[in-house]
Formats: sequence, C-alpha cells, structure tokens
Amino acid sequence: MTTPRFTITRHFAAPRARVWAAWTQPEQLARWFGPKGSEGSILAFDLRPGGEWRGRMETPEGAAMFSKFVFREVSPPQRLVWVHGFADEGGNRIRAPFAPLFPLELLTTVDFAEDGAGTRITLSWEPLDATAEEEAFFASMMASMEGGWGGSFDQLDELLADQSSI
Amino acid sequence: MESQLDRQFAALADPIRRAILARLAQGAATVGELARPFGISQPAISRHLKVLEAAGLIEAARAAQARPRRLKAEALGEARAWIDGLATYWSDRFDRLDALLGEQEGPPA
Repeated sequence: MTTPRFTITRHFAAPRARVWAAWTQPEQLARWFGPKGSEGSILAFDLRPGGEWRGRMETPEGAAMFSKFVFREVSPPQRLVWVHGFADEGGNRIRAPFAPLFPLELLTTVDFAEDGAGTRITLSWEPLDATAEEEAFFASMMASMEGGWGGSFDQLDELLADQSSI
Repeated sequence: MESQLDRQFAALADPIRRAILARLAQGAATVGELARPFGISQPAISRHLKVLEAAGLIEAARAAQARPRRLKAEALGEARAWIDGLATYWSDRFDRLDALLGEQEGPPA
C-alpha cells in the first residue's frame, strides 16, 4: 500500500515574500494559525532544520493541548517542511488524545509558488514512519473525506442534526 | 490499546462497509436487502455487519425475525467529527491567513 497523503492547494492574493513572512514570523502566525474559536499561543519558534515550533491551545471546554512541530527544511521563500504532532506540556511527543491509531507524526510539506501576482500554496500531510494500522486509520479518514460514502452524507447530516436536537 | 474510535475507523476503511452505512443512513435493512445491491453473498455481508456492530456503528433490531440493521448515527458522529477536523484543519487556517493578508494589503500607492 502506498502512503496515504492529504493535499490541499490555495491561491492567496499576496506576493510570495509576504505569504512566506506570514508562515515564518511567530507574531504573524499567532494571528491565523491557532485553532478556530479558541485561544492559542506559540511557546517556541526556532526556524531552522531541527528547530522546534511548539504551541499551546485551549479547547472550548478549557482543556490545554500542546503541539510540537520539528522543522526539516527551511528554504525561503519556496519550501517549508516539518514533522507535525501532539506533545505534552514538557514538549515530549504524545499520541493524539482519544485516537491511539491516529499517526503519531505527520510529515508536513508546504510549497510556496508564484502564481500571477499572488502565491499558490500546496500543502501535504503524510504519516511518517507509521505502522500499517496507523496508515490504515489515516487512509480510512481520507477515503471517508473524499466522498467514499456516496451521496449519503447529506442524509447522514440530517440524521445527526435530528439526534442532537432531541 | 484500541479505542472505540480506532475500531470505527478500521470499520470505515472498507469501501463495502462504507456503502452499507450509506445504505443504512436511508433506513434500516435486513441482511438479504443489503446483500442484493452489492452482489456479494449473505455470509460475506454478515461478516461486514459483524465488524460494523463491534465498532458500535450499527445495531440489530431484536423484535423482528429478520433482525433489520439500523445505523447508530450518534456513534458515527464521533468519527465524522474527526474526519471533519482533518478536512477543515487547513481550510479554516487558510481562511484566516487570507483575511490577514488582505488586511496587510493597504491602499494602492
């Protein structure tokens, strides 16, 4: 089985140098990178191969979660690669809370390409040194995401909405 | 240690099992009814149903003799939340990055 890979591409209407700055200056990252609807802060940011980017976020329920990313490649202004995962408060790598089979680490690759007057970002996520079970878990999430359910997601959404309104 | 969520994703890894869930999202169905459109044997369908039941994604009605299977939509909701979390992890962040870059744009010189 080939490694399952998640890819997302987006065009941004800003020159590449500015987009690169938004990804590599902690004070700018703090303004967009945190999880939606909750507080996030950057605890460490060392932009060089082997350097760590550690963050703390708070869930809506008020629980603290920590992330640790380790840079592998820093090639301004075109490429950023890091190893992505959860951590404990001390910065030690831990598994995803509540899902032991979610891959321990994901290799994140971000490509910055000039695209007219703007910038095209292509980001990919793939499990790193994952076990067969972890890869299967990730592949299963991807397959479910890519509409492997046929057209029934809408019905499922209605069903779930009905249940939660009881 | 395997969690219930792990079992759910293992169950979801198979395209036939996803198709069975999609079918059950439209209403309960018996083994015979499920076997027909997939063109596989009833024992094969039963094996898939067993995996889905162990993951807590479906249940069998006791009352009727044919024991129609029903989707446990609330259980699927947890797996769905994880899938949505993965799908929106970057798109949400990209939306906010887009807004930030727009702010910095400033008036044209």
